Amino acid sequence: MKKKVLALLTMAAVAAGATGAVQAAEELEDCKLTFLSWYPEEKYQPILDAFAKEYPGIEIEFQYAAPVADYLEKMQVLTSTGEVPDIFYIAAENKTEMIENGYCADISGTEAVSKLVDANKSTYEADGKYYGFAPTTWVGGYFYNKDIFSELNLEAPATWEEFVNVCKVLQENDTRPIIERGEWFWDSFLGPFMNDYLAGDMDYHKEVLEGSKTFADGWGPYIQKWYEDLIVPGYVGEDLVSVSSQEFFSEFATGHAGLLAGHAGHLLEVQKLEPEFEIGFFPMPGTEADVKVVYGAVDCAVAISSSTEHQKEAEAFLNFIARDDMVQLYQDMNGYVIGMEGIESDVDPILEDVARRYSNGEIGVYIPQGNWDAYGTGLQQQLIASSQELLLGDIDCDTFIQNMQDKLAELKDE
Amino acid sequence: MLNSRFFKKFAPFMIGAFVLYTALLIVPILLSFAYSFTNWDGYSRNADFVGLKNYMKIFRSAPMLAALKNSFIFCFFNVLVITPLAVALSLVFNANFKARNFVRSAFFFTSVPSVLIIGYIFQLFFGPTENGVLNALLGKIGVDPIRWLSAGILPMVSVIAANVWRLTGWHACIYLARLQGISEEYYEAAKIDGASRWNVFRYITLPLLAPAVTISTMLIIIDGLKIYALPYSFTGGGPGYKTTFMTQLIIKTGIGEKKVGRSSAMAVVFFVIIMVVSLIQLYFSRKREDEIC
Repeated sequence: MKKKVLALLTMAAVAAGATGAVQAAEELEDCKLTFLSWYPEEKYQPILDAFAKEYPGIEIEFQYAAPVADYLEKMQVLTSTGEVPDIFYIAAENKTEMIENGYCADISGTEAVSKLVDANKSTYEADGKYYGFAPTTWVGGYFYNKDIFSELNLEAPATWEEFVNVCKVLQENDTRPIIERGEWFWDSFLGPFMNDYLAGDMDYHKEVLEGSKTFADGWGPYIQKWYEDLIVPGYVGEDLVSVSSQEFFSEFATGHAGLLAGHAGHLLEVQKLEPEFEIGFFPMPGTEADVKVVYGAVDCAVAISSSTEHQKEAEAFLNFIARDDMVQLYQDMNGYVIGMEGIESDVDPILEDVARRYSNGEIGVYIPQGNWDAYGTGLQQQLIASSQELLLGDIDCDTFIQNMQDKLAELKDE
Repeated sequence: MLNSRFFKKFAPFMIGAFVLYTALLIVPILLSFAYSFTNWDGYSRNADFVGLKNYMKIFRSAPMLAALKNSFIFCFFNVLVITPLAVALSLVFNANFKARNFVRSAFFFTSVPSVLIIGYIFQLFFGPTENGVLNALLGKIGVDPIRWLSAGILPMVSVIAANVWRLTGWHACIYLARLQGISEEYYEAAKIDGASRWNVFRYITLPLLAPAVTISTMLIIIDGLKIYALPYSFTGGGPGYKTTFMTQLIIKTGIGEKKVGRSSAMAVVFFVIIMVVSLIQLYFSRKREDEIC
């Protein structure tokens, strides 16, 4: 009897929900929404199909530009020609300009935004209003070859000292310690910086941008430490400056490298190559074993154009993505951690622990360019060029830091 | 003077071409010139007039000077390597042998795929790890991996090599077209006079190829100065600024750094440089043609 009542209640709830959705769809006008996506159409298709089924009167005209440079270029052209799509993505690289120049509608009142956890909500906040819906966060660190570690009696390092020792043992046994791409290998300095310094001053970059602190204050000692501990002994090899994405994955998947710095998206690519070993994960460690901040960032966010003629319909699309079942599809698309209240992330088991700790608010995430506001891409370009010059011995650590500071001054037109 | 019947007949074509040319080329050039005096970031609806500030900044910028130097080195060595290789290859294309059409197609093919794709292919070819094709091949004969894309001048050499591979076949076709237009009578007369093969090449073929050399070198220079997709996909402009070229820097500054005003100033300066270089090259080539012929 109890089961029958429960079944009836469930059916009633489903029917009520469905009716509500149909009613909502009926309230909306038939229209075409233009959508410039950060993710390719084939990945978005399950969500688009579900939306078309529920809202047959709203057609989504899907456009895609590959992130990051091509996307930014396309968005810049669209804004300058007044052709901003109804729905689009904003990211760390352009959010300041898009929000400050009034291209994004205030979506603070939407159901979608109300479901986000604080970190995902505040990333796209300005003056107390929310302009982007970012349902996922990527968290990263080092993936490691468990078979090699087991052969060499190594364990996942919990501290920087242990990490340096792991690199040493790997190199002594003819295995490349760390593989990273030519434009990203600088991330190997982040562990001690994030956990020893940034965890105590999460506003550090804001202070650098305002001018009350410099790159030398925060980054200085950690760039020096990185240089001495990883670059000088060759654990971060000079050839890394020209490693492509393809080599990055294949070098690790073929067992030539012990550690790969990356996130869930990279793990998916490695798994496609069917490595014949077990993969483990550990966050980038600081001096102490207690990890407080991990390499990562809140993902790019869906935004609505402030000049759209279909605000209600665009909000319906946003709220549709935020539905529990749709956000799971969204997560399948990128493999990241869901940053929404009450929704568990179905991440790869390798990343379960770090995902849980992020969802529980035990750890924060950090990526430099995500904290540089409008100067993000310019400083990131400088970071890439100077880190490559440092690795090749063309400049020293002081010059590296000075270059970052000079670039900031140049970007600020000082 | 235009004949009125001729004008009536072809006016729609001429006006169409003029409108397209103006809209797609002249207007953007003029807009770039106007933007170069502003601080426009590419997103704002307004921009302030900043006078010559952008121009003064770019000439003090180390990346700009590095990119300018790289663009000229790239062009110089492309002309130096592609021209003799293309002339030699055109002689092969012009010779009578069974697989001639296949050889012509094979060498021309390298200019067909997208330059971006070629960059990615060369990135895999010159890759530094054991998965890099060239290093894997060298490893088989006992040679240690070479850091093609990071050691010394090798990154620039690698980018030049990729561009030479891409363009030699195409430029050989330009020379071939010219070779096929040379009258057989010259060669017959030389044969009767007992001229050696070298002398035939030196005193007949080469002088008569001069107009093609002018066109080919001008195209190599313009293509070299404008190069973007190849280093973008091949080296990303690195390491540091070792393979950053002007076009890349203009786009990075405008799109990445959101300094459209400054990047427009770079584009204007670069436009003037390309124009001056092309005119000088054209002047000397024409002069040389007259001397040789």
